[in-house]
Amino acid sequence: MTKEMIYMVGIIAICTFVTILTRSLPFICFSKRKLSPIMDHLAKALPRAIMVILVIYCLKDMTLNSWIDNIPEMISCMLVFLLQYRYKNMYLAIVCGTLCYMLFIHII
Amino acid sequence: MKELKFAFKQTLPILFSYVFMGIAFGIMLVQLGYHAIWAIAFAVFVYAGSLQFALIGLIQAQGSIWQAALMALFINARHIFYGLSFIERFRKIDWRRFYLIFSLTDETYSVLCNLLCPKELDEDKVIFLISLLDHLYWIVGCTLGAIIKEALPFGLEGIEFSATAFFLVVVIKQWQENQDHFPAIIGLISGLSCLCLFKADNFLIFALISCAAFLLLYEAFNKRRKE
Repeated sequence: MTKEMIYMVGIIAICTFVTILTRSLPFICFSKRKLSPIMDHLAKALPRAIMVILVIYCLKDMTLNSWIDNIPEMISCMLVFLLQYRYKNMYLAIVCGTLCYMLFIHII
Repeated sequence: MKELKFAFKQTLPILFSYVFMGIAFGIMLVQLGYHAIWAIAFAVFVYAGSLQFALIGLIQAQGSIWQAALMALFINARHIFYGLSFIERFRKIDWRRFYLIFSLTDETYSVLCNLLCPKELDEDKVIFLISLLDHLYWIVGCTLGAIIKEALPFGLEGIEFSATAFFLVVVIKQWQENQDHFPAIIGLISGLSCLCLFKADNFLIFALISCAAFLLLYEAFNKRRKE
């Protein structure tokens, strides 16, 4: 094995291990025990909070730009919001929002 | 077969985002001078989008394996919070749950959170197929990028926005389907305040910790009030 191969195998192995570790930690912790009522509530409430945080995470780079560079994100998100809120059709909202964003990116 | 069709429909919003981001990753890795096989290995085994992009920088700088481990720990610590909501659900699934846990990425998590499986379908199978399809999209993307080695000839820039749009749709759906908006509001407050307090690159884990802490406090307080 060359040095480069050992390096890449090492990186992939350690990152796979750590990623599996973080993903399986809650399952390992609660493999035998039942969730306490409070933890059960938390488990049910968390996804709704996490999804909001994930949206913020996707848009986080907006804080690095001036507001004028953020117009594509702002308009596209607004469009997704309006379509989903009004028509409750996930595919319509995502397709239109993404196309709107792509159009902006290509024009600017 | 019905399960596959249903699962495919659920993962459609992820398909474009994963394939395109995967292509971007594949291109970056082969441009560093590595063989395409490495990009595929990353997609199959590591299977973590933001970590893989961060690793490109590390590999370029020939950072140590321990640095990579630390990076993986820090970037992926958020997954600890994802699993929490599926402990009871996954417990009922056979050996396939080990794969489900391995492949619980941001995107798969959001699809599964949003899942409303029709009664006539086998839900365990649907969950498994959703996870598997998402993983396949990522592998296809990374492989394509590593093979074509350069940006696609036609402009697909911006298609990764479909993941953002999907997350936003899930938020709106959850808002409309639930009476109690407290968790969403806590998420918004902790997300925005941590984004202001910390650098954009690493606010995520702080936001998750603070929102979980707030929600726990809230539950504890509620319970005491009821007693």
